[in-house]
Amino acid sequence: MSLAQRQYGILVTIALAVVAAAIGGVVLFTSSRASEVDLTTANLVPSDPALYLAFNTDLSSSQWVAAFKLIERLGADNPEKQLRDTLLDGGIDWEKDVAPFLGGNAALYMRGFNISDLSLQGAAIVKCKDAKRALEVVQDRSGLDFSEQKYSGVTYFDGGGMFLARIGDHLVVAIDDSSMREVIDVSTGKKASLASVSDFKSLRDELTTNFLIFVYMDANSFTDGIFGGDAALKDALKASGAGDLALKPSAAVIGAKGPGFEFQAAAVGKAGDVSPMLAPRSPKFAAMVPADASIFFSTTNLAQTWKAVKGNSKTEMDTFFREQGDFRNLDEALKAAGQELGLKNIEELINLFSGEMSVAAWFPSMDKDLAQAVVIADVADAANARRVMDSVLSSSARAKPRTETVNGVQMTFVVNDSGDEIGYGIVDSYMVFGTAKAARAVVAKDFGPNLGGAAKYQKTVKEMPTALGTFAYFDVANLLRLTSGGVPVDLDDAEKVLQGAILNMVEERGVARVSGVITIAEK
Amino acid sequence: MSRRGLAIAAHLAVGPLALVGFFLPWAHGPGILAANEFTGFTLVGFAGRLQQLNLSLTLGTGLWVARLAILGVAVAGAWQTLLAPVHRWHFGYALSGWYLVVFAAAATVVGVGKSGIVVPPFGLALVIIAAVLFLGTRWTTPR
Repeated sequence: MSLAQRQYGILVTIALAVVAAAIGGVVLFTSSRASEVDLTTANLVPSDPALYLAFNTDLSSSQWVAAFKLIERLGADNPEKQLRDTLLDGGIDWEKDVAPFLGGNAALYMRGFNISDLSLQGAAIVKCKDAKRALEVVQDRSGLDFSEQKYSGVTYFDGGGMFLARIGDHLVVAIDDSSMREVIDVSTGKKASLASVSDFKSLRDELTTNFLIFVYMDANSFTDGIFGGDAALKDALKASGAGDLALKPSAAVIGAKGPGFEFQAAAVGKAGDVSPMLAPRSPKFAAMVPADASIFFSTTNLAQTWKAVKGNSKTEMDTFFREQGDFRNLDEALKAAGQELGLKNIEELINLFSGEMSVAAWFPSMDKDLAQAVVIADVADAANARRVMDSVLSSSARAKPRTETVNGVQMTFVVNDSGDEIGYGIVDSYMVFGTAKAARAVVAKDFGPNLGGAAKYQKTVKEMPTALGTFAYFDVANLLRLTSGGVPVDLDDAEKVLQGAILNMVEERGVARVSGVITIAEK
Repeated sequence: MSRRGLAIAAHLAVGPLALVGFFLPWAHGPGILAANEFTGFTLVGFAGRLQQLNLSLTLGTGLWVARLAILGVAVAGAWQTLLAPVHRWHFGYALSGWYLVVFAAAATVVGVGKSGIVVPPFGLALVIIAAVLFLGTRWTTPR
């Protein structure tokens, strides 16, 4: 072999290695990506359902793989086999009777709901692997006698209380004849489908497309069904500033990830007056409370939110207090509440909370009646905060307040009407208020590891599907232990592996979202 | 077609058959995954999803080996396609061809063990045909 041929051979070998690496990279990357759930069933659902509930039926998807693993961690032994065996015990063969239904997604929808005459329309729609076999299974197992009907060129089967049709790859099971005909109308294009509704599309785009369960709800249809379209109720909701969230369509997804289950909800409406509280942020006070805090609540801009709510709804609130009979208007009620605390107006206290505010509680003796709790809040004006807090503490004190210097900070303590010692101190730009022991520990920073640095908290925050806004964190294992009298052995397998949970509200990209996660430990 | 023409056609077909077969069905899922049909491509992905579950070292390693072995079919198919015109000249052709043969033999053994003697799913059948064609060309082409 000549030198030129040898060099050429080396070049070709390098090129082949590059080809192998490129194919490997592309296949490994693209094949492992989380698969999206294509909600084909929404193409057959009428455009105005009150409720649309869809399920991911691809059991090989990343969601189901993670879900089965999490169920195993919760104590189930080989849940896939258990599921199959349970059905087999009931005479249902998975391969023949269940597998034909698993074509990727299945849904239930409900519309025309009216509680006054107990009327309801709806259907179950299943994207099938084998729709013909799925239809046979339902016909055989229902025990009904079906007669063949035709509508708009589509054949369907009338079983009295059940109506069946095969539309493409989908099996439709409707609860009444008109629901079946509506689905057929949607399938033939005579009526618009849910998939074509802009609110549905935008909510679908806002939420993750990889999930176990997807729920779409048109709250307006629900309130119409329950309250018969009560205009006064709708007006009241709108006036309260919650109308946008309460009456517009919303959607939610529930999913599974390696470390836990998550959920996320979004609404078409804007957060409105409560928007300042839902600003995305990183909570700084988590690093100022002990790692064994079982409950940690964090919010922001409470004063600004109150100002906006009051500004927009003062008339309605005035009316409310007048109708209650105790006060002539809102201002009078606020003044009375303030005077109870030794203030001119309760707004003096509310106005202190113009930045981040957190509440934390922990149970050092594992006794739920002996909680240690603190409120930590940013303060813009330390002198004003001291004046307000002195008034609040004095109003509930059994004896004269006493002061103490902790870690260079002057703290004030009182024994309140219940006999518990409470206190507060102002450290730099924030205030700490709570049970004496807790407030002292937070100011002195002598509580050991902090929550913000705790692995369990960090893991739970990391798994959140959205940014944090106003949220509550729960150390589920600790709280369960408290309810069991602090005895870990009393917890069952599932309770032992539950770790942290977060319930969160945030406004992102102009959309109000509720999200949450519960993490599950390795066994 | 002459014997020489057939031999050339066989050489040229091995790679594309293996590549196309990689993206077509290889197997039905076991148990509750009976509704799922897996191609070589989706098997690599499914094994990847299982790997993300913090499995034991042994299971994790086993899954990596399985993923790379299946991925090897796509790489071997590509090499066969690229090197078919110069199959005598570069060792990569023989290497990838024998890889296909060994893989197809192993897949056949696993398939027969699992389902008995049945026609394999289309994608896997194409990979086996590609391997058989490669073997055929090795025996019939003079060196």
